[in-house]
Amino acid sequence: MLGLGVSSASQLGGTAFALENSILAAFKTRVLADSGVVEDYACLNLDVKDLITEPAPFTTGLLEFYPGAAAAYSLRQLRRSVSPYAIRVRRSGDSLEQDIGFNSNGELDTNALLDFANGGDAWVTVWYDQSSNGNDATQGTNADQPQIVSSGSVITQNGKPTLNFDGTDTFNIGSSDVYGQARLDAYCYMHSTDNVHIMFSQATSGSNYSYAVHDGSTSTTLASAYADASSKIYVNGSDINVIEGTTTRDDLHTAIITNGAANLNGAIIVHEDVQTTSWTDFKISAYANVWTYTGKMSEILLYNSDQSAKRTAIESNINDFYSIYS
Amino acid sequence: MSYIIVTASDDKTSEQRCKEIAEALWTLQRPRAIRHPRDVTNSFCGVVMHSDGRAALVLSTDAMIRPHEQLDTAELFDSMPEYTTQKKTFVNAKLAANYGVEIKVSDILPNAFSYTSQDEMEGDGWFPSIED
Repeated sequence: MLGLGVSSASQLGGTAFALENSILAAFKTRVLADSGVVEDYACLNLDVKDLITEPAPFTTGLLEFYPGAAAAYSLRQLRRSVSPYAIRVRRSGDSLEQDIGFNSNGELDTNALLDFANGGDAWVTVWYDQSSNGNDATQGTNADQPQIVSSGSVITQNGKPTLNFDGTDTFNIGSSDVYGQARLDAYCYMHSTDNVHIMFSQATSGSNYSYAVHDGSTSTTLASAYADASSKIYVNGSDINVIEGTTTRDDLHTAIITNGAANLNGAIIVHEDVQTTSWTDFKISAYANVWTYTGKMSEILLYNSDQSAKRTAIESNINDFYSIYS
Repeated sequence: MSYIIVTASDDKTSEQRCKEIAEALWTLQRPRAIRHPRDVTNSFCGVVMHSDGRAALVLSTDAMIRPHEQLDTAELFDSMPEYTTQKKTFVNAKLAANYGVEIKVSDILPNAFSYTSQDEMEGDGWFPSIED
C-alpha cells in the first residue's frame, strides 16, 4: 500500500486491485519524471488524485437498460459481456495498430492507450460496435481516421476521452442493420463549432444524406431519402421543431451547433423517426471534404426501431455520464 | 485540400487506379510483409469520384510519408506507369536515404502528376450541390 487512502485488494476485490495498480503506475511515472526523487505527499497527490477519487465500478451499461440498438459506438462501456475492446488505434511513427479496451470502471483504458501511443499521436481505425451485432465502424484510409491522442495526451471533451474529426474523417458501417431501414433513431454526443456538415450519408456521392447543417444557407432541402414530416431533431432534450419546406439549413445550424454542440459541454443530438430505406450503405459523416464533420464525437447510438418512449431516458443516461446539461 | 486526378488506363478505371496508388503509397510506410493480419489501415489517402467516372486522390500538397526500411517499391511503380526510369532512380534513392523520416509525398510522385485545388475541383463539377 502507498498510504494514499485506498482500500486493499482483499477488502474490495479485483476493482481495488486494478485501481491500486493504476496508482502505482502513476506514482512510478511521477518519480521517474523527477529523476527518481520522491517528492512530498502534496506534490504526488497532484498526479494521483484522480485515481484516489475512485469512480464507481462498472455495473450496468446503457444498452442493458435500453437494448435493441442496431449499432452502438462509445468510449465508455455500454454493456457487460460485449467486445472487450472500445476502439482499435494506429499510432504515429511506426503505424502499428492495437485494440484498446475498458478499465474496471467501464471507461476507456487510457493507461493502455497512452502506453501504446508512446508520447506520440494515435488515430482510430475501428470504433467497435457494442450492440453485439458486429457492426463495427471502420476506416482503412490513414488520412481519414479521427484522432484520439495528440502528442501523448488523450483528446477529451468534458474530461472524458473523445474522437476528433478534422473535416476529412469518416467511418464506414457496412451493415443493412443501419441502411435500408424504414426507421432509424440516432443519438450522438458531440462538440463542434462546424459551419457545414452532414452527420450520416450513403456514400461518396451527393445522394442520400442526413440533415445538412449549413451556416448561412437559405435552402430548405434538409435531407435526402432520410427525413419526412414525422421526423424530429432533439438538441439536449428539446425538440427544435423542424418544419418541412420552412426550416432552413441555417436554422439547423443555429439550433444544432450555435445553440447546442458549440456550447462548452457540447450537446446530445437526436435524429428521431428518420429512414434509410433507399440507402445502400452507411457512412458516419459525408463526402469530399466539403460536408465532412469537423468536431468531437464521443458516442453514437443507432436504433432501427422506435425508441421515442425511451428517448428522454436514453438522453439522461448519456447526460449523466458526460455532464452535458442541467 | 488538393487533389490529383488520375486518368484511366487501358485495363483499369480511374477509380481502380486511384485505389491502387493510395494502397501502394501506404506500403511505403507500412509494408505488407510487416503488417498484422488484423491491421485495418491499408490506404494512404482518400479517393473522390466525379459523376463522369473520373477519380482523384485526396492529397494535400504538403502531405508527408515516413518510408519504412523494409519497403519495396515494386507495388508503387507498378501502380503508376507514369514513372520514368530517371524518376524511379530518384525515388529509390530518396526513400533509401530517409527510412523512418518523414518526406513530402509530392517529391516521390511521377512528374506527370499535378495537383488540382479545391476551387478548381468544385469549378469542374467534382462536388455537386448537396441539393441535387
